[in-house]
Amino acid sequence: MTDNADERAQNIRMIRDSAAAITGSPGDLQRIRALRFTKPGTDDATWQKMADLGWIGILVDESSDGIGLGMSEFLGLAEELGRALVPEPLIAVASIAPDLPADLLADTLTGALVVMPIWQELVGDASLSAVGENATLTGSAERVPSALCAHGFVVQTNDGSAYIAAKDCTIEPSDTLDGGTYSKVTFNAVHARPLGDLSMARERATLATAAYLLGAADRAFELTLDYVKMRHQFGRAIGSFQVIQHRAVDMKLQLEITRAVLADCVAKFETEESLDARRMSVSRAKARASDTAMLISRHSTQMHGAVAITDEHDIGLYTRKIATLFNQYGTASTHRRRYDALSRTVATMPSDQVA
Amino acid sequence: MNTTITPHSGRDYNEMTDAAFRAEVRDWVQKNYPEELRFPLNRLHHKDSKVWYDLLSEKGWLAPNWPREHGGMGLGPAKRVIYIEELERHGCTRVNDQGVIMLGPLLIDYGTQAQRDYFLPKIHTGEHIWAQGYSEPNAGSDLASLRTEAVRDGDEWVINGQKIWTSLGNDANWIYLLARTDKSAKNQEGISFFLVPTDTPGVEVRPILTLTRTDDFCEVFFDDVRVPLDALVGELNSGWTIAKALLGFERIFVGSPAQSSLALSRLEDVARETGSWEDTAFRDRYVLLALELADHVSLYESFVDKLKSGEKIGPDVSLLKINQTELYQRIAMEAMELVGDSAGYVAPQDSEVNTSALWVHTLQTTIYGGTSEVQRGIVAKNVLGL
Repeated sequence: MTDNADERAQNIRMIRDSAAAITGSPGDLQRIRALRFTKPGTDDATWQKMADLGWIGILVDESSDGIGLGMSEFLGLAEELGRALVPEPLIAVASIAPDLPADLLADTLTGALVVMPIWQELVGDASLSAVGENATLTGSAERVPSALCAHGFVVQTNDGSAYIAAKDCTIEPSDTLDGGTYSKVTFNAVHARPLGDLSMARERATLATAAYLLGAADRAFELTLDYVKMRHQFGRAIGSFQVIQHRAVDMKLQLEITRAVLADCVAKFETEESLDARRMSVSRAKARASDTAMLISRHSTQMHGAVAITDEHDIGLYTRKIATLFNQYGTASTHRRRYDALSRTVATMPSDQVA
Repeated sequence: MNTTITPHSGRDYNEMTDAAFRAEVRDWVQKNYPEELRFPLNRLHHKDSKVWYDLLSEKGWLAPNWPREHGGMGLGPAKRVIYIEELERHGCTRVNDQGVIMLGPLLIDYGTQAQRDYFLPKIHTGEHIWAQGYSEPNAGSDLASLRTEAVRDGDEWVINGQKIWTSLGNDANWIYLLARTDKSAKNQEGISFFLVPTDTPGVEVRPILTLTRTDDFCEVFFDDVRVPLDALVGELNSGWTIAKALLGFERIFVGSPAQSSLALSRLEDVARETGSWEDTAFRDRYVLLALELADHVSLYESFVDKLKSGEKIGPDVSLLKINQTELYQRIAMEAMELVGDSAGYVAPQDSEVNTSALWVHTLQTTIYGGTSEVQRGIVAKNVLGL
């Protein structure tokens, strides 16, 4: 490994270790459990701690008061958050932070301002009423996660992205399976501040969500492995049965593929010059992570048996989270189709990888 | 035949940069590899691949894994990976390499000086072509239950029993084998490792026709076969240990994406020929497989990186074999459906691709070298602790 690669590896280890400040001791899901089905479903003190640790500015240059790390470090952090099922919307906010204008960024980095991106297609005409300072926007968006803790939204209009204040909007939350919310956010002639192109922020959030899903799936698998070693039926640990063993190996295989794919894709995302090639990496990672997470969720539930469908058992927290998150930022099928479409325009693999 | 080792110009390839070494291998392979032998589907018999064996031997590139003092290239892990990648990339056939891959390194580690001096040069020149005698009719996945027996009689060992699934056994003039030498010991502990010329009285090699009606495998019978005492390699009753010690480096390459890559490009050919290439339902299935392959490449590369940095390959390498071979089958199955009734032809009538031969070839891959089930058992026990 080069010095540079060593330094990256060390950064990733450090940021992973620092995650314990938020996630607590491994396996402690008290805070997560308590926040479920409450409003807003996130914790201000935790958010402040994340800001103090510099996480919100993890991708923001040091010259703009961020900590200036790369996507590999961000994904390492996201994976840890997934293992611990952290509900605060760090992935979304940290992904758009580098693209925010200076004033919004400054407040975002201190933790005072939570700006949630709304990537969902807007209902209504989705056009700004005017160019520049006096623009307003009318419409609504459905299924917006973490809207209750947001102070502002970045929305995608027909005229580019724009910032609107949460206090100007009507927010109607509905419970999600994981104990959080999706909200309908309605805005009626609200002031809209035009912003630059934020489309890469969505790519970053998609990739980080893949890492979060991997973390959640990986932890669910650990719990399952522990369980099949401990649970006895017919006078022996159920993990001694070949059918359980082989299924566990299939889970392990998919987890290892996903881990390798994420490492590969984040490296390509950081180094490929072509935007389409970078998008292909994102789609490959998200398609794999979504499929893996659901596979792990399904088999974990089955291997736990009846306790898995109680609200009390922790494996259910993973089932809930994965089902809520695996389609966010695009389903596996959507991403496979996007990969296919992009692959027709991009020379994908270097020739030395193709037989 | 010349049986002295020609040290190939005494070069230490490890002094080269990886890039320079890769370029040299690529260049030489492109200039010298016979065009008509590129990307063969099945393993070639020695008579067909001998030309490549001889070219490698003359160049001094037959044994990348052997130390230089034994006439090998003495490559470090990163260079070995590059060597294999470049040959694979060009579609070079595997030579009949049991002597190079298995027996040579085993003799270097466990053989006597006399055994090394006698056998290694003959592997180099191709005078000895080796076959592997491990599996038996009742010892396949459960190899340690093998029954072939060697009994000492004065200055000789007398071998009786039967081996099966001996790849290209009819090409070989020597066979190395595992035989039971202590029936009272526990399964793995009473086994020894022997070297036998196949023209010894009592040895009979019978080809087995496979689904492609080719003789890729053989049965080998041993009926009171008498060999000298120095036919034994290593300590008596240590055969299992020394045979197992070899299953290291090469295991990773069973999980190489090369087979699936080739199959996927054949699937594309078939899809274009049958007019399915733009069909959206097919595209969905195709992209699923293309991504499975791209993702397998990521997994494979993560193992290769470990290998290059000198890490030992652990039992999790079985995951690579499971994934590659099962994907290879899925791709072939998709091609089989696309061609419709033509799937039934032995030889394709109006296609560049022999889809049924591809399909049949994929079937053996999840069986040979340890079935998918055996591989899963290994991972469950040694990686997951189940």
